[in-house]
Amino acid sequence: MSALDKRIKDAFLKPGARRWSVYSLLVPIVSVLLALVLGSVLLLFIGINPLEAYWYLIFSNFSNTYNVAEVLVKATPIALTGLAFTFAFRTGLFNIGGEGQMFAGAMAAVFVGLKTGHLPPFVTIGLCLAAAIVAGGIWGFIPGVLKGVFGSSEIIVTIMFNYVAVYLLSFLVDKPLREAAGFYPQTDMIGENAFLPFLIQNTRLHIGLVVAIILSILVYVVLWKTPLGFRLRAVGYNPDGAEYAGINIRRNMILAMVISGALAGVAGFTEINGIHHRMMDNFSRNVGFDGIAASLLGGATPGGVFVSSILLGMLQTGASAMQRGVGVPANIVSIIQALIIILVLAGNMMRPKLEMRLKVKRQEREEREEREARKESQGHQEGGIDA
Amino acid sequence: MNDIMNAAFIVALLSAALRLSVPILFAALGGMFSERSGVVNIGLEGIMLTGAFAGVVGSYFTGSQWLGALVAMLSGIALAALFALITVKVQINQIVSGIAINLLAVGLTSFFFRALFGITTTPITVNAFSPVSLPGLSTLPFVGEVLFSQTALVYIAFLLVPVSWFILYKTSWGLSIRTVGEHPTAADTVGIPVNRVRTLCVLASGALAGLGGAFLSLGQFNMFVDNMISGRGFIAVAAVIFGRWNPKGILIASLIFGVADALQIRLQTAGIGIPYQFLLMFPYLLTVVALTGIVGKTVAPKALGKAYAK
Repeated sequence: MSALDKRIKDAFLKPGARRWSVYSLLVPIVSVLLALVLGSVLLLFIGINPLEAYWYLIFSNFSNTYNVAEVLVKATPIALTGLAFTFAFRTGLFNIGGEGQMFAGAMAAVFVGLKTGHLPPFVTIGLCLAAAIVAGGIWGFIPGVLKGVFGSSEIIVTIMFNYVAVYLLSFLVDKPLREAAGFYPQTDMIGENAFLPFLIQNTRLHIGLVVAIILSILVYVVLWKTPLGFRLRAVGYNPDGAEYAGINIRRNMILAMVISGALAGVAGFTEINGIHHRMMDNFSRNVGFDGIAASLLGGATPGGVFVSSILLGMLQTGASAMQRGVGVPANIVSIIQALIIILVLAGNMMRPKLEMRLKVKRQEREEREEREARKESQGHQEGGIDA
Repeated sequence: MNDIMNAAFIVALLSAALRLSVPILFAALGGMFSERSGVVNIGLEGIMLTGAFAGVVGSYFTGSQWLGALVAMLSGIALAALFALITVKVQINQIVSGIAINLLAVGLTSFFFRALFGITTTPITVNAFSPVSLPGLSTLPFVGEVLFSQTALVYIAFLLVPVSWFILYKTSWGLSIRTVGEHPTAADTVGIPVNRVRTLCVLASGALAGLGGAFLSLGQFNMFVDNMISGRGFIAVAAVIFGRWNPKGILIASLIFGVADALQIRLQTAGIGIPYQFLLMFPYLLTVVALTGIVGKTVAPKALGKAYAK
């Protein structure tokens, strides 16, 4: 294992690293704040008061129920693709293909939604979900198998498959699934029975959020409370050791990629059945990559991912308000998000060093105290002899 | 269709293919140096985008497309310097860093474009590169039109192929680069400064990818729009792999991908047979096939993706 791999894995995967430490919270919080400070330099550059801009960025999200709901609407698919990245990451794989797997799920969901939208809601929604899981799973299975059988880098294959999915989607909405009217490159609306129920009236918040929460809990339970999860994490933390212990590395890698892909596929399902109700070119772009950001920010734990995806959702909806309010290009959020990723990872890199320093300090203090205590007792003894 | 129509179609197609392969070639040659030294640079996409933007800005303010290209290279180097800092020095994971760089570039270019030019509906027009006919050669039938009536950057790109080959295989620099990518510990033992070599290679990839981006904005579209690279940086990453990490292979890969791109543009208008989206997928699928090693072995530099800490 290279030094880099080891340090990353130490920072994330080592059983000890999951123990609650001040740094688990400190690193992400400081990173977010620092990213905002760096972003404010850009705002000053174009002559905008950063405080005013950030006021919009953050508090516009809480101004009414609709905006709060919008944050959660944005957070839902990010949480799901974040879970997808997390699951593979814990097995030592970099699944950069959340984007493509989400699109695969969306294509399947929209296809089934178009064909079965007249059936009772329970049936058609269930079928859409199942189709999305299978399609996303297949989109993860292929890189998984190529990795397992040929040793092809799952990183590059998943990146390539993102684009394959994008163009496949583009083809579907251009030709076979194009709307009956034929005007725009988009599909017809799926049957109304396939729409996900809304959680709050007059908002776009749909039951997909509940799906994301349930899956977060499920991923936590599977990864940390089942033998399967133990095996998957063992492969991630120490492949050689896992193999020595009789764990089939290939099978577990492929399985992890399938589950990871399926999780991202569900994001496609919630976007189609919950929000758009049809598929068009260029919908929900970058959600797969936002998921990676959420996972890294959340320390690759399901709970952390969920909280982080809400934060990213806030940044994204807040950005539009900021653009309207003070005329800051909304794309500044991409900058802030990129800085957050870099700072969190840099913070995690420094974490072992910082923790080591703390440890050394504590040891020094303990040694000093011990020395002093010994000296004191010696002093007593000497005094005793003198007397 | 008669023969003359056919010949004209093929000349136009090949000429376009050559042009379309150029940005990929620039970025892929840069990516090759970075990867041969052991650093995966999937930030090429973002660096190209920055180059495309900076090229337009440079040309706009100086009135010279050459200075624009220079600014593009410098901006590519600047972004690559950040990438080198976080991957080589701080040693953050290279893939995630690349993603962050891409995201950063999307934000920075769109932010500064609006900051500089406001929200415009008409694209900013700048001085761009125009075709230079090489005297004598451009009048040759068929090849003259395809090969020798291109913009200056096209000639530069293709000249860079033998130059890169020479640097990589015939100079001590090249030997250092290859050693650092294959076996950093051995390189360190014989006194090659591993991380400095890597940093320089990443900077070179930034300069070349920046130039590749500038070719798009100053040599092809003559403007900047958000996200105008649209995957070409990743195609360059693919070309490095498909070209097996050497200049000749990368040249072939870029040309193949260029032909696919030129064909899909024509299919879109002609509307025959294969959906154009499948041609757009082609580079990515081809690269996946190359990665399986079924068709010949692809051997990546051994230390690729691994940071070096003493």
